Amino acid sequence: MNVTFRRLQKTFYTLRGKVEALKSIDLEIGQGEFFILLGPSGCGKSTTLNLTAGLERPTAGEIRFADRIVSSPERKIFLSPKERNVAMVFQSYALYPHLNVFENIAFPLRIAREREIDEPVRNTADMLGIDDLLERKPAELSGGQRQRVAIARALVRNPDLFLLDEPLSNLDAQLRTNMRSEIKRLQRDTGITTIYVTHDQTEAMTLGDRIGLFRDGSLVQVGTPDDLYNRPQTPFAATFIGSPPMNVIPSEINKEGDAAVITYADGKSELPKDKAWMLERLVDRKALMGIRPEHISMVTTSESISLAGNIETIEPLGRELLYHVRTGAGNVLVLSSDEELRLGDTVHLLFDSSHIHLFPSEPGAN
Amino acid sequence: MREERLKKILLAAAAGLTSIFCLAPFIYMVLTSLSGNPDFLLPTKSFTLTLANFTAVIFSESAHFMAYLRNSLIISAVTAVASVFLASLAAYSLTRLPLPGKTVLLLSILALSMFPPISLISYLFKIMSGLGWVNTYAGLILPYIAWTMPLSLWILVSYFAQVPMDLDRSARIDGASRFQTLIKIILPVAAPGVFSTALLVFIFAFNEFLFALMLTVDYRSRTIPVGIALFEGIHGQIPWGEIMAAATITTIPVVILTLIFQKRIVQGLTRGAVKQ
Repeated sequence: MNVTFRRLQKTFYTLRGKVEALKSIDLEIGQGEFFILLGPSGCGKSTTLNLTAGLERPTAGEIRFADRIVSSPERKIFLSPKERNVAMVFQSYALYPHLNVFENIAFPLRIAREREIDEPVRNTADMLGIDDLLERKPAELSGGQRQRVAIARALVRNPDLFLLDEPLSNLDAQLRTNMRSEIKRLQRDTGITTIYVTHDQTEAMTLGDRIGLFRDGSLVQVGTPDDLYNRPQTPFAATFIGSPPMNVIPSEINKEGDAAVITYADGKSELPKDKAWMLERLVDRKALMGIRPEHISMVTTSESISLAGNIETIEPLGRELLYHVRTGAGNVLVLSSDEELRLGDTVHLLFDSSHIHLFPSEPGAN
Repeated sequence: MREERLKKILLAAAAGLTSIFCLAPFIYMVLTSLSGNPDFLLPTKSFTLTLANFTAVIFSESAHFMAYLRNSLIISAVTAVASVFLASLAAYSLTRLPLPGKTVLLLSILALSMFPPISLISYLFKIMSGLGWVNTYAGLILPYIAWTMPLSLWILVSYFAQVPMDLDRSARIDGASRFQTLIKIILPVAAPGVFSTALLVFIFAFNEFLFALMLTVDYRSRTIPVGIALFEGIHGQIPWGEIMAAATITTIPVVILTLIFQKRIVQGLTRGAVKQ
């Protein structure tokens, strides 16, 4: 089932005034797609999920499940969560503490007065590897087991839409990686359209077919993980996706003969041919240049186009080292496997011009 | 180590003193009820063990003690169940629904409970006689429900507020209506609060004296506290032995109820519901 949001808005009125949680969201999520809502806290991603689930009413706009309008204040339509046949997994798991695992999973079936309860519950428990825990109470389970019960309870009645709200945030790192691949497998096996909220860009990149990046109640960019990583449209997208984050350096673009050159403090790069259109878009030649830490090389001898700086911090990441270099153009992160360099060393940075991203300097101008 | 020991000794001493302080009247009551000479604390009289007071209270037709006990149990039980049920509906709305002026509402309910009952009793009597409800169960149960409602509501609101909202949201997603959510999720999860509230209301109604004195006439609806207070010996003397025997029997239901519900009250509130 595909899901469509049209000019979806949500405004909260609190004692401290009006909060525009969602400004105007237009989005279409395809049948069977694993869609990620990504963004920092308070960006509107959870609100979008709650509106989709029917836990909250939108202020304006429309939500459609396939051809059916499930929420539209203009047409005075609002379907309850029950009528939408959605399932949801909460960050807190939200298991019913007085019921054992079997009854927790059976709860939606009992509410719907299904005749068949035993078999679907056991099948779902089997699928999630918790069939030996059915008699236990939630208090007797580990975090990972609780999360599995929560997922089983969501999947047991074959929902049309599967919603997950930061489901892995409360798990430790090892378990999180395991559950991540398990959720991915389950989604592929069941083929249920899935909307997954997270603030963790790694989760977003590994799980999602597509990602919707939110900021301050608006969608900043929608695309595949590859789009967001390799073709970020704003400095925000550039710095939010990828770890360590992309460097964003204030710079200036000037024509030098045939070519255009990007200047940042004492460093220079040639403007890539495919970004020549940037020249026309710029106001007073100022731009923000983005470059990922892995696309910068460090040399010890100065070159005419290199950017000089001092090593301020070195973070070993295992396979590589992350250098924080203070330069005339601000702090720059560099990933390198060079282990010879020491704190305080003067280095010269060379940027791989084929991996340079350019953004107009006024935020939101594109 | 010595400090640890001292702490333990002081703790034990404090616990012991508190227990003695609380239990002394109770022990005196039980001893008096078992005494052939109810004034046995006077040095001139000696303690003789007897069950005569109990048999007199239980088997005497004219004392109507068993009728009072039955009235008390029925009235208190109905009051407790009704008060907790109504209060839980109110507590659900106050903790779950977007009502304006919740705090004002809660505070005015608290203010209501501060009226001294004595100021209401004459008018209450007029209402009840107008309705023809004097000396009926309903005539006591309704005022008791009204009178215990603020207490029930305040306790339940504080317990319900601790039940994570995610459980409600989850239940709604699972297709439950608000009423189903209350009955199947919130009440069981808040069970310790519900049981302690019910127990408190029960004890309140069980011990209530003023309304019961004014609104009952005879054994058909009179409750234990009034019954005991109006015990009189054949020659007008105060039969302390029988009064204490009656009081001892009266504490039994309350003690039993407390023992039954103790486990549920002590039990953790939301163990394992959500990650904390």
